[in-house]
Parts: sequence; C-alpha cells; structure tokens
Amino acid sequence: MFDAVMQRRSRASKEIPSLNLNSMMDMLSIILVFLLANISAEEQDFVIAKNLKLPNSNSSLGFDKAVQVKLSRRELLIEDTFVAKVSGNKIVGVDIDGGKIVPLYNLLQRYRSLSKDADKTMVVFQADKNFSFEILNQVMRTAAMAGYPNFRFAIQKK
Amino acid sequence: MPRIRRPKVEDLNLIPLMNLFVTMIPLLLLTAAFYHIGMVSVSVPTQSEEESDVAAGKAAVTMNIQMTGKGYTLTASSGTIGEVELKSLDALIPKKSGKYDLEKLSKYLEKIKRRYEQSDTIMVIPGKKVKYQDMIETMDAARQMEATVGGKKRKIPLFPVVVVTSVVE
Repeated sequence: MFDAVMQRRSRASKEIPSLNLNSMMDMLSIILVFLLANISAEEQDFVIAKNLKLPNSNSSLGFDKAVQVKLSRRELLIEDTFVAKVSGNKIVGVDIDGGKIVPLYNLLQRYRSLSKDADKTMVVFQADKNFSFEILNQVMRTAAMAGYPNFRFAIQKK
Repeated sequence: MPRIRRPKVEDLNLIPLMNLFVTMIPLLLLTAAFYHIGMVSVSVPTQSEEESDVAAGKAAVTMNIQMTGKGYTLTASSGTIGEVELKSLDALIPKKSGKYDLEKLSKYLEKIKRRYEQSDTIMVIPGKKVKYQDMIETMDAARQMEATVGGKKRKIPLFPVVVVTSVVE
C-alpha cells in the first residue's frame, strides 16, 4: 500500500506543470495598447520648467515649435538659459528700462537672428498659473518689443 | 473497427511574445505622457502698416473684455457700426461668489456672435492683479462654448482670435 502511494507521487513529481500564460498575455496586451494610444512624439520635446504649474484649459490647439520663454516661481529662462531671478510677483536683479526687461530683450533678439523657425514672430510661453498679469505683461511686452508679438501659452489640457 | 486517434493539441509558445511585451512596457512607461500639453494662441497689439484688427467691411464687432476686481466690463468696437449701436452692446458682468462668471460671459458673447456672425476677435484687458489662470479661463469662455445640440454636446466657436493688452495708464 505504502509503495503504491510512493510510486504515484514520484510519477506526479516528474511531470512539469505548464504555466497558463493566457491571462498574463491579456493583461500585457491591454497595457501595451493603452500606452501606445497615449504616447505622443510631439510632447516628448516639450520640457516644463521646474517650480511651475501650467494653467488648465480646454483648448484643443496642438504643440508648436518655437523659442520657449519660461517664467517659473524662481527664475525667468529662455529655453534653458537663465535670464533673471523671480521673487514673489516680480523680476529682480536685472535692468528694466521703460517696462522692458533688458537681458530678455537682448537674448530674444539674438535668438531671432539665429532662428531657423518658419514663424519668427512666435514665442511659446510657459508661466505659473498663480502669477498675476503684472509680471506676465512685463515679459510679453518685452517679447513683443524684440519682434515676437505672437504667443502660444502652454497649458495643461483639462 | 480501427480506433480514431485525435491529434494532440499543442500549446502555443507564448514566451517570446511575453519577452517582447515585458521589454516594450517599461520603455513605453518611461516615455509616456500622462498629462497632455496644449497651447492657447494669443497675440499682443503692435504697430503695423497692415489693416486694423477692428472689424471693418461687413457688420462685425471686436469685443473688449476688461477684467477688474469686480468682474467683467464689456465694450465693443467696429469700423462699420455706429456709436449708438456699439454703446448698446456694453455690459457689466459682476463676479459670482468671488469668481468670474464665465457662463454668463459665454452666453453674452454668443448673443453678440449671433447678431454679428463675422465677428471673431476679442481683446482681453486684465487688471494688474488678475491671475493667469483666470485669464486663461476667460479666453476659453470667449473662444468657444459648449452647448447641447440634439442631445449631443458640441463646441460652438465664438471669438477664436484673442488679443491681450493692458490698460493704458
């Protein structure tokens, strides 16, 4: 009796049970489809500045390539080049001449002369949603004076 | 009678496919964007030799939305409509429980758009203290409105061209 039981057990242990991968495959397929549907090559190029929360909007306008001006809670940047410090709701430590932020104006003019973009009058503007119009207006006015009167405000889609 | 032998059903080897999926998923997770970035098109007024932005020719108006601490002050400008008629388009939309009344603004602008269908430009004039988020919401409300047509939600374009300017002091 004992031998018969042992024999049955040893036969069972030799058979390697196959893993049922079907449910795992289903799960991975769903994840893969979801990720492929959400991927967007355009948004890969768009880097949001640190210390910045973009405003929410229902605009359906897509991403445009142009020179990027970033106004975060701590600094003002063009692309990744530092322009000025920001404290509270003010740009500090730089020359401001008649409402024009001088280093921003000079850098934007340099970008404009070197730019290969089709539309040389457009700026992509990233700014924190809690800023007041006073500081935004200063940056926008300077950009317009430097030859960039058209803006694309970067927003987070609702 | 000969015994019929049924062919043995072999399991499909899914391991290479699994390997592919397991490599692709981390790669896609690293590059996926879980929030979507969009753009709002805006311009600032500039001096130019081109034609004025103020609507001319057909009956059209440019709406000016002044954002103050109390709410919206709306005025209209046009190259074709008389002053008396333009004055009748002026309106005040006060804040509702401390917030800008976007719904009322959309409805008012829809009324103007129905009357002057060729109109497409709004001039947003925020006060110094107006928050950027409020500006964007105002532009959204002025650019288009959501309406239910035949049981379906649709976006109706209102004033898609947005110009931002400041109050001249």
